[in-house]
Amino acid sequence: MQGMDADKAAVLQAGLARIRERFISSLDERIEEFCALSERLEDPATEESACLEIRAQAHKLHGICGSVGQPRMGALAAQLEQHIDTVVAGPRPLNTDFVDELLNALLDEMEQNVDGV
Amino acid sequence: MKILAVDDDELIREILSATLEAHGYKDVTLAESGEDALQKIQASPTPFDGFMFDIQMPGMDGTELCQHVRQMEHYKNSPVIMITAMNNKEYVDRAFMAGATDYVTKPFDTTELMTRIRLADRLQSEAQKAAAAQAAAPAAAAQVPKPAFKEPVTVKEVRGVVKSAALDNYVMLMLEQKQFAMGAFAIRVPELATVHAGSSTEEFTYVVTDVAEVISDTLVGAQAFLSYLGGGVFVCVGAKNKLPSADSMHDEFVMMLNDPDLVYCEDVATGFSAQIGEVAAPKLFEKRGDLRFLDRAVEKLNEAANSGGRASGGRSAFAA
Repeated sequence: MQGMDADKAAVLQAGLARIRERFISSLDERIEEFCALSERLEDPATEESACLEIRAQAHKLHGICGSVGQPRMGALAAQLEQHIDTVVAGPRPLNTDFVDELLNALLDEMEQNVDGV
Repeated sequence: MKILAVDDDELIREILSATLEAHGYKDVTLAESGEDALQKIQASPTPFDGFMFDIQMPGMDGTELCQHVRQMEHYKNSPVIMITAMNNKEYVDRAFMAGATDYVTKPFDTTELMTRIRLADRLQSEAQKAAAAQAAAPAAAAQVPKPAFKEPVTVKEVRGVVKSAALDNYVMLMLEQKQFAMGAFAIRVPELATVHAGSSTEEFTYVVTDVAEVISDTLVGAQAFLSYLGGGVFVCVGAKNKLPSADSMHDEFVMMLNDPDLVYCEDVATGFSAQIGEVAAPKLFEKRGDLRFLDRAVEKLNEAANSGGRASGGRSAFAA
């Protein structure tokens, strides 16, 4: 790595590898949270707050994924986040059909990584 | 360099900490929220030299935190690097308006991240040396001659006004992300030369600030940023389709400049006029991060003013 001696680069790589492992082990919990929010999407009384919470979780995922070797998961999370921005800026009642689809695609990707471990 | 890094994601905090430490920045404090960051700033026995704030956080977000930090006397000019996944231009605009000086995008590119940190480190070191020299010889500092007219002065607390370096960083981020078609235009208020010649540095800065405020008011709705380059010249940047044309803004702008409630100089009695250049935009073949269109904005101003070489060479002609 630029501007670093080999020892420090090795220490950094080892540190980042540990962070990647911790990210993969956090996926189960993140999947559960998304599933719970997905159920709330079905209820018109809670769909908007569920959308916003899904967006917040997707935003966090989008932020971290590229740094832990999960660009596809990051791209799916970003797509979900952007779509929710569009949906909540639009008319009521919200149309969350595509939110559901994007969320399912993201969940599939997350589950594959859990299974991969 | 003592750094405070704030992000609500624990893993991001750890990545930042590991990366900074591996590059020799060992004095890094981590905070998980805006509220936590403020507590850590208050509790710190020695001040921080620079900050990294995630923009989107639950509770107090990075922009609000930046506003709080800028209100602290010690941190008025400290480097504040915003961390952004860059999915919402509004967040980034608000962050620069709140006083952010630079940004890094998630996911982190280590080389880019360290370039930003080293730049902040260098600027902070230079500022500290200058402050130390001034403290060591206050009498000498008091006798420092008035900065030349072509030098920029710092305009504070005007909506949308940022330092030239922060403006460059903002433009680079927007070009990188291809958020929208950008444009820039420049404005010169020639009579600022007379004001500069006949008043103190402090008074001149007040008048430049008044003029900046008038420009900012004129650009309301355009979501534009502006910076004072020195030499009586301001450059304004924003979405190309929202920037006003020179013709459409000239008359109202001059009228506002000559309203003593808006622009007032105690030392020099003068009326104000304005030269406004046409909008310049990045060219298709120019690479991302190429800021030459800002120079072209100044060149268009010079063409408009038909100054016969009064000022030329783009923004560098006004650089400190």
